[in-house]
Amino acid sequence: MRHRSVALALVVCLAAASLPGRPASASTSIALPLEALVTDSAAAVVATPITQVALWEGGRIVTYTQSHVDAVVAGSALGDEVWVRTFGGEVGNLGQSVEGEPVFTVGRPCLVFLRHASVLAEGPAEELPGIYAVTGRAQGQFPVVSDAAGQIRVIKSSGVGALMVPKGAAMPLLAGDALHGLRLADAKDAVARTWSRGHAP
Amino acid sequence: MRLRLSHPAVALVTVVLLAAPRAEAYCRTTTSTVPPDYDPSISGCWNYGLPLYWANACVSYDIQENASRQVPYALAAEDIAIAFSQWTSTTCADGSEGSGRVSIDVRDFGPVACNKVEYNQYGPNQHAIIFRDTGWPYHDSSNTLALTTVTYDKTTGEIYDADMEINTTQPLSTTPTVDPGGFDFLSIVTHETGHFLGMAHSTDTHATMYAHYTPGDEVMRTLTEDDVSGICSIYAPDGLRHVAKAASPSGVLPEEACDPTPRHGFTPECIMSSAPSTSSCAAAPPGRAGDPRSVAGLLAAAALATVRRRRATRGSVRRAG
Repeated sequence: MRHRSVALALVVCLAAASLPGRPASASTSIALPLEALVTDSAAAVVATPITQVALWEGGRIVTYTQSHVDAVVAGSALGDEVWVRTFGGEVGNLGQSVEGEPVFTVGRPCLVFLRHASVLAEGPAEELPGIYAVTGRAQGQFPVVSDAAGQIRVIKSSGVGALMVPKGAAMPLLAGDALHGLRLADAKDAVARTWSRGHAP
Repeated sequence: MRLRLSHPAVALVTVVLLAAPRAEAYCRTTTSTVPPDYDPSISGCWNYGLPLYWANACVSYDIQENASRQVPYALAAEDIAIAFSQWTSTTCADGSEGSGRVSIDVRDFGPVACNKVEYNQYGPNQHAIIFRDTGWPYHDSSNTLALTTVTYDKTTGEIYDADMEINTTQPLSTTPTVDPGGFDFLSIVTHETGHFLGMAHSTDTHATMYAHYTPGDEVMRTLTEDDVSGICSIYAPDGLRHVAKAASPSGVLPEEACDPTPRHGFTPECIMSSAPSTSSCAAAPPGRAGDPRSVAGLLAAAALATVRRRRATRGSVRRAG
């Protein structure tokens, strides 16, 4: 256990040491199909935020959220905890609003689709080991809530920013529509089924 | 017949009138981030935190030199000016704050070399509008078409800086008539300039600030009555800014005389600050703000806290046992 904790600290430090100066933002996005969300992700997990650290990177504020992994729904094993990097936050008296970014609240679980965070610059991406980002930004985050009947369900994030829904008869099912309102267990099944189609063994 | 209302009845009518939802659906961005499980279409605007506003009567913006292969500089400058003018040429209906044009104006400071979204706390800035032709540097499979980053003082809600990024790796429609199914550049920037000025998403499905676009549509190019009410609620014709009590006990602040210069001055170049590191980790070498090594420090501190918390937990378990 101690080894793992130290390893975590080391991984986080090493990952952070390789971070470039990198800033945070309102947005307009194309709505993502569930399959695209799955295909672009390394894992889908139910996670509960534990702690958050916001800091300046370049001229932008970035927030790192450490979350407990409650369940791995699909994809690579992540361990008990995961660090997720999002744009925006508050440092001292300054804040940066980044609409369309996922927003984590300590103690509030979410189903999230994760991919390895990378250096955010134009051109080829450079991965940041040990740090994850939410695939599709807020479109990849589904808060876990309890409904009036006490059922645990997932809902789509209200923070996705402005969405454009592509036209076309062959338009696949959008992630938000596919999962919104499902019982958590059903949502996990739906993700796992889509995952098996989107990620060849 | 004269109707006499008893005091309780008057009180009831008053309460009902006060509690009646306002007709407008617009919302203002605040210093408090909207939680992902909060639905404004059901619960109304997220009113926690302080509403954002530009204090000055004039705000500048700058367009990245060369702009984009898809949207050449001249076209970008023209369309972005049209988008801003939708908001700044708005005439407010006669209300308690008077009637007339909104009390915010913009100035195009011309091309800038800087292609980074940044806010410099200690030196000159620019409010850049940046085009991403060669790669969209976010974790979203390039599905985001535009992003506006707003930096503010969380103790007052005053906006210090705003930058906008346009994802030109995606095909955008720049023609007067939108291509069927196309993503209309002018609609996108009209919506984003609303965010630039402090507007949040509206629950009015016809508003430019509504959170859903229909490709091929160009109705978002023109403000609706709800958008007009929204911008007038921030930048009233009488020059007053409607702000939180934390910013002004009266709830209003007079506009500052027109000076579109960004905070701490203007520069067309990207310049990072030389602020002291925010790191609290002794293991991390000193670095300037923005230096990734300061990130290492903070994360190391957080990781260390985790280790200590676990040890403390284990310790308490042992003691308890």
